[in-house]
Amino acid sequence: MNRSIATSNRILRLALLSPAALVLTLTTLVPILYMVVSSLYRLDPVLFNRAWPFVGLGNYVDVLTKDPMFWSSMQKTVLFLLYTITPQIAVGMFLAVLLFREFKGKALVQTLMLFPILTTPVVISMIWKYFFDFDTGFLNVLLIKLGLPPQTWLSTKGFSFITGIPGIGPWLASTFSLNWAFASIVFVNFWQWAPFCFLVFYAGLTALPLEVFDACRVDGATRWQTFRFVTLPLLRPVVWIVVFLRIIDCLKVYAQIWVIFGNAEPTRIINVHLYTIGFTMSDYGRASALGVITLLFIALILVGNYLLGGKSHESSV
Amino acid sequence: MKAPYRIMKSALFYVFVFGVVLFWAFPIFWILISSFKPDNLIVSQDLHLIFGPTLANYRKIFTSHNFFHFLYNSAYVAVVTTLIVFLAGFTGAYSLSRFRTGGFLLVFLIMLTRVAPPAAILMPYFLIFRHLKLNNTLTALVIVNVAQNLSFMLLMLKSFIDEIPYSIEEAARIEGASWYQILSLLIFPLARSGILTTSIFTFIFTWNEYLFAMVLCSSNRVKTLPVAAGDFITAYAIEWGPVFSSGVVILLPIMLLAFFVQKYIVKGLTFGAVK
Repeated sequence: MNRSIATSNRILRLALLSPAALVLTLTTLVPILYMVVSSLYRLDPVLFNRAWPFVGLGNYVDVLTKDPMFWSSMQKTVLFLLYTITPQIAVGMFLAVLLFREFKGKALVQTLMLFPILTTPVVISMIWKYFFDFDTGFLNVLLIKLGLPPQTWLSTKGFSFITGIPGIGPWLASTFSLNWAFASIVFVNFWQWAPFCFLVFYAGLTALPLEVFDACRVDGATRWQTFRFVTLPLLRPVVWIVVFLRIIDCLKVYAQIWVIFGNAEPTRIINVHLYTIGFTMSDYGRASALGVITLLFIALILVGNYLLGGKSHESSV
Repeated sequence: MKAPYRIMKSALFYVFVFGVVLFWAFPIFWILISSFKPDNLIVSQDLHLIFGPTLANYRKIFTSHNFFHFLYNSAYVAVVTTLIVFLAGFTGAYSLSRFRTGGFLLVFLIMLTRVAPPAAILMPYFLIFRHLKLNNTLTALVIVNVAQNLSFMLLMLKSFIDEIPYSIEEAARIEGASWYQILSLLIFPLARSGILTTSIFTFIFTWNEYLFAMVLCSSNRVKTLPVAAGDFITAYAIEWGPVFSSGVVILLPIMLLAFFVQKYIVKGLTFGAVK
């Protein structure tokens, strides 16, 4: 680049960037600083227009020691990440490898797979709330037609095959959220985002040199060997990026759970808990502290993922 | 020996593909169909594959629930947000790409907005807007949605502008082109597919947004479509008919986009993962 042009236009380059920088500062940095400050005060709708009583780290102590729902919602958030992302990646990869060939109607299949990804989360929840509905939902009506007993899809009962394990069954079911309600929010997220994983892996496959696969065929490698020793290693960077993107997006999930279950305890992940503290209980101060803690928690997860293997993707968020 | 085996294998493959399509497309298709059913057929223990279609569910949301107004609110927020994100994003991405302006702080800010969950930063937005008396205004929604989408626009457009050779610009400058001309007549057309992609995504994300709209714009005057549709589901009763028809109204523009500008959508979804 021509250095003299670049330096002589210092004002211009700042002028071009300033709208974006200003917006980002005002809408991200300022609110986060505001949240850090407000987390140090006792604050609710009544106190808002008066002098806020300073409580120091009191709100943080409250969240960490006096709020059992906080720890359980953290636990559920981590479980939610594990349960949704793992099958999405696996199924997405399976579909991408399987559909990576020429066949009739391929374009249509790919278009249809776009729909769930783009579908409004609220509408997705409505669709599945209807499908899972006990009395008139699609699945139960279908089961009854087929002469099978209807299922309580959205119940908060643990899976009977888990709770039935003698001794540790009930403990397993409650510790690892192995119940119908939790499974259904996991399923809804899976339904929406497995096509995304498929799409990205598929695009990753198209970007690979075809000669590699020809060579495998010539050498007599089985399909599994080709996948295990050629395709998967070549796609590894893409897989890590998808894991990273899925973690970020799963940590933002809110509407899907809210519309189906509200703030019911079995499906209360951290985002729903944040809303409950801040807007159902109107404890603004504690919600701010919880927000700060959540941001730190997310930073921790992302750093962990980075150290585990996703080192190449920091430029691709 | 070999031919029947191959036919069976390809038949199995098509059965599988059909299953995949069914699993991901059928729920949406079923909602579309059900939205034309009269109430008594929706709340019933039968599937009613054949029925006399009715527009009653649509009439209901547009006449007794003011959905024209919610539609306007949604469209207004989505269009204005997309315009602002485009303007700030295009100029900002150009500056980022050509001059590496901003340094670490800017990159940090971009990353922060990209990863922070809306629920975590909702509280300060709500309080700040309360100071500014912006709660229950569409302006508030535009502001938060711009914040949510700008980082994606910056990152994606930057990578598009990176691909445009700098020598073209230098040639134009020697010919006497001004900065404005270079941006609008040279860079803009060359980065057009990136701009379209990011704008489509900004529009869809804003159109779909729920949490901010629910908290910041709860009054009927400024409600958006997803919030209005969510209102049909309460802890006490669910009106399935309006739920389906409002769902279809929300999805229609998105489905049209998916059909007609599919190329850009795939590009946007796979951006970052696959060059």
